[in-house]
Amino acid sequence: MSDTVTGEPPRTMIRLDRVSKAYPGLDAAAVADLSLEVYAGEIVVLLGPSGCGKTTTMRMINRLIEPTSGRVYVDGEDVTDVDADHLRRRIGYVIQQVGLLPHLTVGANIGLVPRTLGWPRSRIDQRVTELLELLGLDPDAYRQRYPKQLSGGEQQRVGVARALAADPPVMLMDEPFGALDPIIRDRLQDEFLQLQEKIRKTVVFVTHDIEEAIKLGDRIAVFRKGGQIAQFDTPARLLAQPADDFVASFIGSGGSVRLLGLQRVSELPLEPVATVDAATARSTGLDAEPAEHSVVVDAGRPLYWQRGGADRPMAVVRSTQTVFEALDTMLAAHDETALVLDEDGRIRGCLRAGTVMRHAHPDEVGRTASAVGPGGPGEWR
Amino acid sequence: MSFAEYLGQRWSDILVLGIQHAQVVLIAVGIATVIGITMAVVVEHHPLARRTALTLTGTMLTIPSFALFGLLIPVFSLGAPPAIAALVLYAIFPILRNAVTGLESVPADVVDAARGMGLSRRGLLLTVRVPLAWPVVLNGIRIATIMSVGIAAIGAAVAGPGLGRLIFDGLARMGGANALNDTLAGLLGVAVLALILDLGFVLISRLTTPRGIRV
Repeated sequence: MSDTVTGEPPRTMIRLDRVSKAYPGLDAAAVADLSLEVYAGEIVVLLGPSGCGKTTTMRMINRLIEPTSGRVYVDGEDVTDVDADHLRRRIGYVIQQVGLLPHLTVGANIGLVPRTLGWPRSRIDQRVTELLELLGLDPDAYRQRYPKQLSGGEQQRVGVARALAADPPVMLMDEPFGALDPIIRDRLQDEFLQLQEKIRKTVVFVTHDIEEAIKLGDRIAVFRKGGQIAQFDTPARLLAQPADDFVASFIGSGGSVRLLGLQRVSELPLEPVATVDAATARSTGLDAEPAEHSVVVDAGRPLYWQRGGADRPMAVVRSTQTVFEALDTMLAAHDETALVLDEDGRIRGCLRAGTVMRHAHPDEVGRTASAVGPGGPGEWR
Repeated sequence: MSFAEYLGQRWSDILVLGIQHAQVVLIAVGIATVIGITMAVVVEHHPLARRTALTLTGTMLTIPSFALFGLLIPVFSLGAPPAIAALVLYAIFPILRNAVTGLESVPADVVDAARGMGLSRRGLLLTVRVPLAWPVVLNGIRIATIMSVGIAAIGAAVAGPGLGRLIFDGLARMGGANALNDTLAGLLGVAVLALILDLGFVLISRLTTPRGIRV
């Protein structure tokens, strides 16, 4: 996620330059003198308590709220004074209540912006089909339905499809999953991340849910009351090094442990593992002293640590799992060492609890470890 | 002559009067609809103008219809014009009232999403707000129509066309031949016409309400 911008210098897609929003009759500004840069292809989460100005900030990007002062740039162009309707057609917009037009079918809802832009009918139809498929909704079954015939999760999928209709480079999302029940919300977050892998939009995402921010954000801007940014950083650095007490209290306790949820097992150095065939292990019995990490396998499938014996449970994790999940598995198995398999189920090495302790540092998170142990993974087969 | 015999002889005259009655009502309601909806769109962003418009048009309803018809004679002389003018003045209020309510009741999140997608103010009104407000607006037109059917009968006082003539004639000649039958036929005709128009609105409502917002 955060490595989207490595290699070449990041291109700024959205820039807020000292924008403020004050409402007449109110002393305190809703947003005060705020500057923010969002790079192309990243998800920036605006996070904060309610009334902190995060939604106001987002809505000033597509000018649903006009800034009192300051400039707004989208893709290098000063859009502070351009026609707001035209600007909005170039920016996807998703809100918590979805706001599908209840009198139009799913197909007509998705096709609304393309129709406004004057696309020919056939191209709109094709785009609707494409988007429904992309969002995992069967076009034949859903195109002619009305919003009230959809579940909450389905409605928000259509909401996202509608925002993507004219293929805008920028998406603004205001707590899009906030009204969904936790299971559906979790699934839609996962799907959204997978979708983002494919479409690489520049996304500004508003939420008050710290877990959602950590899960989705490449960078997170934590807002304090009065529309000021308290800290703007990667999720890992936010968890490990909150800038001040406000950020720390907003993030809550357990930052270091939660950091583990951002780190993949494959990012940590693994130790080599020796394999012993099940038949050999039986014949040698307990006479031979087993090597430190030797695992008994049967036809490539790991069974148990030779040293612990067949009765002791073994912690087994995939390299794509998070370190948090690996530790959880290790705790459950009362095992200080977890056997790490790659996606195809081949043994890659083992992860020791001590390694986790030594490497849990925000600067390590998100960086793919180049070394997987001497010789690399091929050796273990 | 019994009422049945009377109807048997006079049904074609009654039918003609009924059709004239319906014409006066529909013309008046048509004009009032255009005025009422236009007013609703104009005043919707101005709370003071909205209150003023609703108060003024609402006050119209308190003027006794007999008096209003009479007051319009100097402007429109006799016949259909003063009858239609008076009905328009009465019919604006329910239409305006419902149009304002209907436009207001469009869910804020739908409007927000539509604006966020870049719909212009006009596009928003035509493709989102009016279609969503339509069932409520239509109901206002329906109420105005039913109400006007009754009031139009008084239009006979200014020589307006319609079933009111039977009623006025009958009442004026009470005790004379067929006086009661005339009055009864007028009253029943008004009731039947109101019923037919009401059924018409049920049909229109079925046909014009988008499927997605039908209850």
